Amino acid sequence: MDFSVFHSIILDTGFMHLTFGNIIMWAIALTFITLAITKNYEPLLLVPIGFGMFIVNLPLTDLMKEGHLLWVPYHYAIDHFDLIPPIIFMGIGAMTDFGPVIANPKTLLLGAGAQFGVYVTFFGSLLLGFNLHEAASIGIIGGADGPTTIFLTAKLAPHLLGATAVAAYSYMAMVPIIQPPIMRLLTSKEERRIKMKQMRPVSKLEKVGFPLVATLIICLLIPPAAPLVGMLMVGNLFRECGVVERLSNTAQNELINIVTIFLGLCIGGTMPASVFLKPQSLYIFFLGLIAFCFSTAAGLLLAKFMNLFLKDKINPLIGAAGVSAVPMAARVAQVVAREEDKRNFILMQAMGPNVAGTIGTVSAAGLFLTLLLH
Amino acid sequence: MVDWAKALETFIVGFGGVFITLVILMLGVGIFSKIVVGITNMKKKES
Repeated sequence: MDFSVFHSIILDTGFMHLTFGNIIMWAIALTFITLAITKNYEPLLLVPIGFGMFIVNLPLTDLMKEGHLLWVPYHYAIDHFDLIPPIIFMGIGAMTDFGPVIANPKTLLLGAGAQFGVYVTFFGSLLLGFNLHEAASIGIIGGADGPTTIFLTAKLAPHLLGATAVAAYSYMAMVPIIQPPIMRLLTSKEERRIKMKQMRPVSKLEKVGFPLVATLIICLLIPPAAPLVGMLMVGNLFRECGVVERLSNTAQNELINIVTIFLGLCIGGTMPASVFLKPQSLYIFFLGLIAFCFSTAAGLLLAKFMNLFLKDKINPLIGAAGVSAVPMAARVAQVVAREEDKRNFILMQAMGPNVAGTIGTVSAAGLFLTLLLH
Repeated sequence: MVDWAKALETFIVGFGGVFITLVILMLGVGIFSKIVVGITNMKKKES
């Protein structure tokens, strides 16, 4: 009897190639899946990311090798042609009501101020030894916008894609934990009690025209932001024009769900132990947190600064919603405001800076591409 | 070796650029809204 066959079968099992790193990655994957299921932390992303991470850390599966199952969507839809983040933006556009921004365009400034953390972290990353492209990819985590982080990192530093994407989505999920202490620290009780004037009603014509005006202005100023802004706004046009309900429903349901599955699995797939278990992954998580805290603080402080000049004062808590994380950051502003005054409703007002934050982060990403790739 | 001059340029042009973009968008949206509201009011008066 030839025992060499048994010997080679045993050698070809994953067990013989298992490393300690793989087991650590299983634990991390399990943590993501557990947090998603039990705490409802960004489950739509963390479940597929966790499973993708788990499966690529099973030795010899080779799912991310050239031509294999996860490599194909990763290579063609994220890395090479950056298709998935813009499609996700189309879905987000179809789900977003830009009415609060149209009713109160000043909130766009708060969306810009909240990008400060992006640039602080850009410098922090450089000090920790990352190069310019890597620093930009880490800094953009401060915008708390997963698709934009993936879009930019895939172009500037694809080797960091797993860590930056997971950091961005993790911090987006932790908005209710990270933001309230900063909000309480930087505002007084009186400021948190400020009641804002009710917003004016926005007509349908304004809502239909907004995506066209926004696309025109942003794409003329920052052409590299066109894939994200264009898709965000076409999704919003589907929603607001009222004559393509089927397209709007597809963009905000089936299409976004399909690409989210591939996105999650592929991002998880970029995290084999050999790539992820490095000190730089820890640095990225740390820097991402710094970025997020600075963005929150900058939004709050800018809102306070604007109050020095405004006749109708704004509640500075809405400034913290200038980080993207739609609509969680706006909800957090509402919760903190209601802690001081149960009859204070600022949710709709906070949605203004919240969606403006998305536009701000996309603009920041476009400017990084303009400045660093040319 | 980090190119600090490029980093500073990225910060100033980048952060400044985000602000300028959103200020222009704010003005653009404001003007657009005024035009739409103006036309709507005019039509209401006519009818």
